[in-house]
Amino acid sequence: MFLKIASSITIVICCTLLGMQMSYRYKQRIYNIRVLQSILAHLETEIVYYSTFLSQAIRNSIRTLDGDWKTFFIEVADNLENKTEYSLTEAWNKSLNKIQKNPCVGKTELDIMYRFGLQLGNSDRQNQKKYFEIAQQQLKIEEENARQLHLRYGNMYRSLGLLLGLGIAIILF
Amino acid sequence: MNIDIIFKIAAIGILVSVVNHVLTRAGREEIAMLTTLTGVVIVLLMVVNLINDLFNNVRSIFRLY
Repeated sequence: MFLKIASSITIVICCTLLGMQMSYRYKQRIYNIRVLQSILAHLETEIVYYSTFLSQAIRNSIRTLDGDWKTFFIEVADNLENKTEYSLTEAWNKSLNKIQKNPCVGKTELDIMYRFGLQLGNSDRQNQKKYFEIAQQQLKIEEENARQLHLRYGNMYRSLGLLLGLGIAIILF
Repeated sequence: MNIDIIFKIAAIGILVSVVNHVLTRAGREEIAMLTTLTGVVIVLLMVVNLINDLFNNVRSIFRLY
């Protein structure tokens, strides 16, 4: 009897934690998009006004921030400095492929960043500024979408985890 | 005759109705429908033996062999 109760409680706790993990993804995605926006804003300043080298500009812009995109930018900067790839686009795509597996990063941001990476460093300052603005606008729309998804599904996953845990425990009891 | 199964079925019913409500609120009607169906199937699997017993009893009481 004691074993039964203990295992039921374990099942309920595990399912609740799984539900919370699922709902945390939505929250973390909003945070990641917001961090990405500020990284791009920093990067724009570095490129358009200071004309820093790109790897150094990337390092300067991520210094005070964190989140899942930080590792992406660190990798890009490393690849650029160590000259492991032939071009910026290749280094960019290589790191994008790595961050693709992260569950807290949505597909739309990846698309936005992919298109942005194709344009980065390919034209003069005025044009670069335009591309930064486009990326920022798209990210803003995506942040709004992520917020709505969080409102809609975040709570659902949290309560669903607990309820499904209870259901499994009752069926097996 | 075990009385536990009645409480079990009642608990599953309550849970399924709450899950259904949550899913409907989140706008996933098709999954809510699926949950309800799953609940019905699980409860049916639990009571199928009892229903079998009931029919056997009815048959033996009225001598319908």
